[in-house]
Amino acid sequence: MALARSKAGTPVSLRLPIDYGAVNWAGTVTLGQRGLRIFLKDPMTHLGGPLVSGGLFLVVFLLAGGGALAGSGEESLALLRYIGPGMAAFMLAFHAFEQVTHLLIMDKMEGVIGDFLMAPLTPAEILAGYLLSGAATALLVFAPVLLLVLLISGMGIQAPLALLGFALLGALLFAATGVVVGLWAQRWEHFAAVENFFVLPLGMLSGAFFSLEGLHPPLQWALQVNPIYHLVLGIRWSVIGGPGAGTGTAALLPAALVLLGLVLATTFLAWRLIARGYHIKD
Amino acid sequence: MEYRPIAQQAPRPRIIGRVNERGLWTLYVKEVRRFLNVFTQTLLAPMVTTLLFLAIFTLALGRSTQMVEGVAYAIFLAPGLIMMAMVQNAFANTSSSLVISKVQGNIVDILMPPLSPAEITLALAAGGVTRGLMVGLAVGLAMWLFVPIRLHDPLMVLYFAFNASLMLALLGMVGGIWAEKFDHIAAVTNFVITPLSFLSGTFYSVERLPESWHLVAFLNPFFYMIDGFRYGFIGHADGALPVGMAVVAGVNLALLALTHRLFTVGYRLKA
Repeated sequence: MALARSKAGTPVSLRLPIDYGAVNWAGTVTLGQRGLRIFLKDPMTHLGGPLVSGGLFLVVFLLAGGGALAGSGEESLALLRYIGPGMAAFMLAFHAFEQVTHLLIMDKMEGVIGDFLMAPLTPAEILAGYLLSGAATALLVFAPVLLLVLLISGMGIQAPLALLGFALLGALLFAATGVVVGLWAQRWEHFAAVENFFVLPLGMLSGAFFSLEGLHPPLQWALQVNPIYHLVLGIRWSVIGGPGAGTGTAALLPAALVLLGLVLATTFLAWRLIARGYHIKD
Repeated sequence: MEYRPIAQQAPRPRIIGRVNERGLWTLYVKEVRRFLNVFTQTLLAPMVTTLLFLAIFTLALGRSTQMVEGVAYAIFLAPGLIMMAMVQNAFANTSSSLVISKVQGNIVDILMPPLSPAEITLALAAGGVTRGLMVGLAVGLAMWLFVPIRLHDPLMVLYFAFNASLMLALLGMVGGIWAEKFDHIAAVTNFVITPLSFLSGTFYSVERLPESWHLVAFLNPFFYMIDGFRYGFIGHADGALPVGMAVVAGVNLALLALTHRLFTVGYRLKA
């Protein structure tokens, strides 16, 4: 086609500005894809690591529990079926948090965050990009670990839709938390501190690895404040309980509501923080 | 104007004898300060993580009054967890030091000064051992608040703690020399060190394992470290103690020779 020419006669490129309507889908998806691709670029570390540590935990519980319980393989298998989904839930939460926080701190340190602020992305879209990649990578870790659990303990999933729902809620909650912590942290030590002194304890003392039943009531109450407890409850029920099990259903609706409420609150907080440019537009 | 003969002003090169004591000490202090600077990550975090492990394993497995090797499960588990913390931290110290130096280009600061390969090896290994022992002490004290661990044989505890830290510090050096990116050393940590430290009798007695696996356990140096260390606390060992002492010492001598050789040749350091 004929080139457009300016008044001086030099060619001018005729590129009309793109009008993308209300939401910049292309931009958001690109941002989400970016996080996912970083994860997929090194599957050995990102996938292999969690699989190995998950597998190790299972083997250790099998070997250590096999004798500690005065029973046969039956009881240690039951233990694995109880712990396995809990452990997978813990890894889901942990990796959602870790991926997002790590990525965000890296972006801040390298100055890449400026590229997102300059791009035609609203704060909500930036948030959505991080949440998408965080949730996707967390689910990419959760699925193989859960598969490993199912294979080793020889069971299937009782309530797949509920599982998906809880997994999504958990991944989104911890991705949003990851955004908040990632924005707040200004050094790697901050990230390490939050991970070691908050997330790990919350995850390990969430009832993922042991039942809350034998504990003192005050302790039980304290542990129920922990959001990972509710996530573990939901995921464990979805895998081993299912609609057939009479037990545990009473706690499911509160668990789902707690998680949903926290997701909404944390996402809102993260959105407002990005909008104000907290620690990114200093 | 006053002129002074230059010969009186010029600094003289320091005469270093057979051993560069000051250089050796300086490198060692640098390695120690490196981890003390971020003690929340390097000393406090292992304490918290190990206590969490103690909590979940005791709550999951040890609630029934179950005796393992003649003691309650928590008392059996505690030395294994202390050893695991020491081992992972000693490895992390030296490996991260070397890999970060290589990636940032600081490795030349270790290679250029008048330090012999033996001195470099010694200083870095000593730094790793110091971290391992400090973590062991911190974790041990934290555990002692919750579990009534008693020392049956303090000398054995010290012997195996020192040798374990040394072994992993040296392994960290070998790994750090070999690795060219952080991913490499992360792979070694995830696929070698962590599995070995989990599956060498830390959490369970190897008597649990089927007969055929006992041989694998007895070929694994980590097993001897954990077994001997635990013996120092509970007075019972799965393997033979003299064999364990000899194996860890032998492996350390071999690793010292290997590491010294790698620094002499400059494998992946002086490309």
